[in-house]
Formats: sequence, structure tokens, C-alpha cells
Amino acid sequence: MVRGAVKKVPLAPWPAVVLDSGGLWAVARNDDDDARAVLAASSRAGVPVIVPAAVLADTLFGDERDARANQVLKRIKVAPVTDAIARSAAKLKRLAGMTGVAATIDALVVATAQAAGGGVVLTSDPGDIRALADGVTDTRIRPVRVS
Amino acid sequence: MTGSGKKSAAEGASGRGRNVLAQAAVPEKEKISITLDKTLVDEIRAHFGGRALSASINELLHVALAQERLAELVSQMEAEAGPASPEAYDRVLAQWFEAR
Repeated sequence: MVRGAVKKVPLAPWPAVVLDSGGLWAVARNDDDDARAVLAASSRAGVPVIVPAAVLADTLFGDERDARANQVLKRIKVAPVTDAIARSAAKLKRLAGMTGVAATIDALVVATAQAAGGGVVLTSDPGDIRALADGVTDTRIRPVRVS
Repeated sequence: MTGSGKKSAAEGASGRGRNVLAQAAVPEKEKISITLDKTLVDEIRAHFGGRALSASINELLHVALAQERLAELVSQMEAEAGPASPEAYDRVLAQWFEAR
């Protein structure tokens, strides 16, 4: 930081941050300004950063290529896929008219955000997340695009 | 929220991520003896009502440790790549407040 510069980090207004596959890798690669902004604002506000366990199955390689992701996973919460979250995901997928494995993982991400009381989904595919979040009426869920 | 209507410690601490963070498998417990400020204990008891003190403190520590770990991650990311730009904060806040 430049001497004398004031670093102003706003308090995150969202209740939680949920990472999908693109979000997890954006944080692991640390090459996305917006991902750093979301995490810094969340840290300042005491907001939890969560990755659903199902995302790990979809995202990780199971070998040394996971090293950077594993460093991130030591410092954020891995949330289990509970019966309630799985059922919510199934409903969201149906409401969005989506099918397939990728849609199932995305629906679990949105259902996890819903269970967390709403929040930001860090994602490289905001369109699908938004379509699924449209089925959530009790909390605010918004995708934030990362590269 | 518990069945008795009392707030959990995690809910009371911030209300954030409550249902997700409370659903992990129950880990093994260890009974210890610790000494805390009486004013702090009184405040926790008053805030969380009749809820078991151990459970309240256990959850508060989970939340506190999660925050510590996230702060470490952010520090590491900023050390590697620098802090996020003001424009990045503007972009993410705009996406959060975006109407459907």
C-alpha cells in the first residue's frame, strides 16, 4: 500500500458468502479483484464464507493440483449437504426448469445460501445462479460475477 | 433457533449463516475448566437466556475462529495481490443491491 493511503473496506451488507466452483477457484487463484473485495468486506463484517461440500466433488481434482484450493478450504467453512438443503435444491431446480448434474450442483449452492439466511454467491456463471435464486422468496440471494 | 425459542449463540452473535453452520456433525467433546471474566459470563447468560453456557460459548468460539481464519485468508490474498480496488467494492455492492 502507498504510504499515507487509507484503505477503506466497506462492511459487507450480505449475511453470508457462498462459493460455487468458479468462486472457489477465483479465490484460490487470487487473480480476481471482485473476489478479494467480497472476502475483505465479509471479513470486516464477520460474515461467514461457505462452500457446499458438493462443490468440492465437482471442482477438485483429488491430486496436487488442488494445493491452492486446499489452502483456501482450511480457512472457510465447508457446509454439509443436509436433507433439508438437498430438498430445497430439488425444488429450486424444478422451479427454474433446469436439469442435469451441473444444475444440481448450482441448485445446492443456492439452497445453501438460502439456508444461511441469504447472501452473495461468488460464481463465474451468474445467469444460472440468478435463475435458481429467482425461486427463493424469503431471502435475498445475488450472484457476484468472478472471472 | 432452538425448540424452546431461545437464540443459539451463533444466531445471537450475528445471525449470519445460522442454519448452515449449525448443521455440521457433532464433534467429540472435551470437558475443561477455564476462567472467564464474570462480567462476560453474566452477559452471555443474560443474552442467551437459559441456554447451556457451554453450548453458547462453544458456538461463539466457532464463530470467532471462523472469523480469524477468514481474516488470515484475506491478509494472505492482499499480501500476494494487493487490496481490492475501490471500483471492485462498487461493483460487488451494486450486484448485491441489484433489483431482480
